[in-house]
Amino acid sequence: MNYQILLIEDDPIFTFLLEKGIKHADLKGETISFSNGKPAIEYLTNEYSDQKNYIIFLDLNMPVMNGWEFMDQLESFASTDNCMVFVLTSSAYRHDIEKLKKKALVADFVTKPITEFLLKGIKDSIEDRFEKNQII
Amino acid sequence: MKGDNILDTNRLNALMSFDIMDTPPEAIYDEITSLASSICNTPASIISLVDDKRQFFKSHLGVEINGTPLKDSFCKHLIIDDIDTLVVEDMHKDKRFSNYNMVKNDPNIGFYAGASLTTENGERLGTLCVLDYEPRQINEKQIDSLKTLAKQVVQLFELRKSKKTEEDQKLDLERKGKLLDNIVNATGIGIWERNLNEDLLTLNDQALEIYGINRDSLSEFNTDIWFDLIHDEDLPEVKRKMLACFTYPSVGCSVQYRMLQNDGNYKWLQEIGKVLQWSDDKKPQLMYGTVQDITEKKSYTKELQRIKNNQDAMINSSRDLMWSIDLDFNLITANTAFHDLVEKIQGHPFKEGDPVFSDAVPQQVTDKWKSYYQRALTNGRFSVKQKIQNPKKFWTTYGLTSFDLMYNKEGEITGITCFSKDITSEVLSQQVLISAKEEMQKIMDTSLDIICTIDEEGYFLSVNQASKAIWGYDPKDIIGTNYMELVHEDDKPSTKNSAATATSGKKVLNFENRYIHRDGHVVPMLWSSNWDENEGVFYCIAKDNTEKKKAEFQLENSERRFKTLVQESSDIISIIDLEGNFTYVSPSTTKILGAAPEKYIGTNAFDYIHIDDLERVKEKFNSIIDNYSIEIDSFRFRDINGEWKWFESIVTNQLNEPSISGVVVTTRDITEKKKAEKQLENSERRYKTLVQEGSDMICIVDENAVFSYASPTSTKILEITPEEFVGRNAFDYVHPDDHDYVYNEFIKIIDSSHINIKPFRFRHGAGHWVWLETAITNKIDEPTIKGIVVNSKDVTTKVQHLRAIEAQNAQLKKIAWTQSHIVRAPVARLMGLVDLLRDDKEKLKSEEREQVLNYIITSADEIDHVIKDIVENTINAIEIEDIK
Repeated sequence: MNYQILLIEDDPIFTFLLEKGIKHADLKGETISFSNGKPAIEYLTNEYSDQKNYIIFLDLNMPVMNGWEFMDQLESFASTDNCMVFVLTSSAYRHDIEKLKKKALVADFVTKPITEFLLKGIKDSIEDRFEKNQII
Repeated sequence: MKGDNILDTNRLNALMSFDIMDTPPEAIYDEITSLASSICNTPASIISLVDDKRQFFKSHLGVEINGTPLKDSFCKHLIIDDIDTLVVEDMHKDKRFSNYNMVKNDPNIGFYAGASLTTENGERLGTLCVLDYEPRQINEKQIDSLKTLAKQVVQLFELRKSKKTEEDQKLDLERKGKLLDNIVNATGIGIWERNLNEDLLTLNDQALEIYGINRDSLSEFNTDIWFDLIHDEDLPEVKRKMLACFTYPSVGCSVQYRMLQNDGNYKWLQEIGKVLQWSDDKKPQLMYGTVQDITEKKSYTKELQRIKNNQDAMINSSRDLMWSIDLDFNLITANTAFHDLVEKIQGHPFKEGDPVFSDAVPQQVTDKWKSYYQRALTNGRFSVKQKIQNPKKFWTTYGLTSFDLMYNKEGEITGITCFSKDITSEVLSQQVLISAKEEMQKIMDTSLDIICTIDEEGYFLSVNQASKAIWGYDPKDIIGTNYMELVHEDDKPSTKNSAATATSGKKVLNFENRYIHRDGHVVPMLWSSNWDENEGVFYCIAKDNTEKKKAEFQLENSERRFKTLVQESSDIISIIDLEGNFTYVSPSTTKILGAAPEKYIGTNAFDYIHIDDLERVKEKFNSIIDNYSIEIDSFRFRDINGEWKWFESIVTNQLNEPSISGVVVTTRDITEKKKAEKQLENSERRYKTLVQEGSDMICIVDENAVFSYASPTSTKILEITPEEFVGRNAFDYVHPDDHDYVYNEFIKIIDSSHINIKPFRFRHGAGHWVWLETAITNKIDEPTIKGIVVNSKDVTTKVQHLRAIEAQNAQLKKIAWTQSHIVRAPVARLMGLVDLLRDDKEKLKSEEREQVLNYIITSADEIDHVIKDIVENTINAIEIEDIK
């Protein structure tokens, strides 16, 4: 199974850090970065395939299209069978994210900065989901 | 005067009467002129007739023309001069004629001799004259002949005239006869002519038809046959009339009789006849007359007469008075009863046409009747009841007089009809009935026992006032209800049986049952009733049997009362010694304190009393030594559960009573009363707090939010007095922006009992807005309120605080957001970057490392900016006062 890792984050420093972290954590898959939700959703609308697994790191506060809007659109076509969304939050300010919690596509919330430790956990949960599913 | 003779109207009328002017020549006159001319030996002769303008020649021998204007006439001179003859031997030499046209010019008349045409009455119509062209002479004999001929002419005129008249008369008669026939035909009147000598009847068509006989058989229709056909009853009359008519000099006769017809029926005929000719010895010769069929008229008249007779009989046999008067109040007609009455009053009846006012009665009576008549004339029909008292005879009569107007065919009022009926007997019987009823009512009202009537179904038809005293119900409450509703449940079957006994015809005496009083208590009753089969009504008398019953149960009662007192009353009776130790306690403790009396025996009463009340109670109790009886005001006493009961006690000193040798304490549980008092006090206080001193304003509005009451606090809260509120609509004060919200909330109250309305703006008396929080309660169905209770609280400060807090909150949120999104971001970045460097393990290239350092600096700068912003935001933090 192919993995695609989508980074949706407007802050280039975070993107940089995330890319580094992913590399260090040795997450499988092709990494693609987007500066906000709009290019990301456009990409997915065109390229989405059942045959791929999508790991999506989503920042919430972004210009043009923010994380919430992106989620609303993603929900209309993406399936939990091959999609996991990790929501990046810059604080423990949970109010913003309450409404995202209920969404099945959202796998977890990750508070910035994303450490290697966190990415390891993420890696485990990804494997948990997709790799085990395949065995079954 | 000479000229006048020509124009004399008698002369002219005489001339005209002969109707001869301008008539064509006639041989007889021409013969006369011819004779005259030959006698006188003249070439010309003329019969000239002179009117007021000209002369006309009825005959003109030897002259062409048939007339001339008056000025050319020779003959007029005989008329003018009023002479019988005129002879002019030479016209040319006579100055009267020498200038005449016919003398001067052609035909140059030279000689004239004329004889006047004079009527018997001496009127001169003209002349018979002879003419010659040459002057000549005429002898006396010739003149006489001329005069004779002139006379002959006049006679001819007369003859002609009378002939003419005769002809005219004949024509006129024919015309008139025709007209008469037409008229006779049109009237349907038959005409007959009886030749009495020959006993012959002549009839016109109408008469034939009326008699019902053929023209063919007319010759046989002699007087005897006629008589045979006449009805036996009428024949003598006809004969009598006929005889009278035949006696000279009768003026005619008229008779009505019945004549038998072919179909067997009689026809009513009317004949009018007259003898036309009498013989010299005064015997009738010819009779002439008319006959008319009056059968219809006769039968109609007969019917009318019959009806009229009947009516008259009816009207006159009535004892009611009937009369009618004209507009001047003169009697038109009246019935016998009226006449009799008037005669009784004044000695003689009113004559028809006389005024209907009698001098025999007082003036005020006359005035009264005058006013009645006037009223009828102004207002039309009405009736009036009169009481007539006769002090001499000590009787009173009552009359009902009705007045109505009479109209003629044109609808004009012609008089007043009056009808007066003696209603004395009706009035008197009514009075007797009323007084009997009143008496009965009086008996019923004063009776202490219940007197009532009940119908077959058991519904009260009437009941006297005693029902109020005995059963607690007013008669009007009871009438119409079924007596069974009032009977005690247990007595219903026996009561029913008793009623059945009564309906079977037996009188029921002293039947006992129980009734339920309005207030619920049982009333023993003792009944006597009687069933009236004809009216289908029970007549009943019921006695309140309570006293008797009471006596019956006296013993039982007193026993039970004691039991009740001691066992079931809410009083505790106890006997204690002077130390307060119980020696006897009544069983009521079980109910009141939850513990049996035995529990208390031997214990001290003061041990159960509340510490706060103890001192007072002890002190009071100790005073019993000097008193026979004392009362101890409310104090608290602990029950078996440790709860406080409020008691009050009466303490009686019975220390010297050997059987008791103690103090008897009667204790009443007043806990409930105390609670109620407390509650009342509380609610009063609450009310006072709420209404008068509280910050709440209480108002009552109707469904349309119009104030009917506002508590005095309104003045304090809104600077609007209650008086100002009353009558105004609450929504007049509500802020326009809040109106819809408040209104929508308010209308919900119609369907629910209570609504809370969140703060809204309400106009303060001073004009600014205050925030009111309101609770409304529907009390429309509550009789004392009948409205919606509105409880409002000024929450302006609260709202302002809330707003301030909200604003503060928003500010805080902003700060928090800033913190999370702006501060956290660069910090998180820094942390990440630092981590990257620390855990680098030489994985980073040197240019990457450079980049990481640049990122660190950028992030640090960002943090610096953010902190500066936060500081600024915090400085601008909300001042509560600003929100107002």
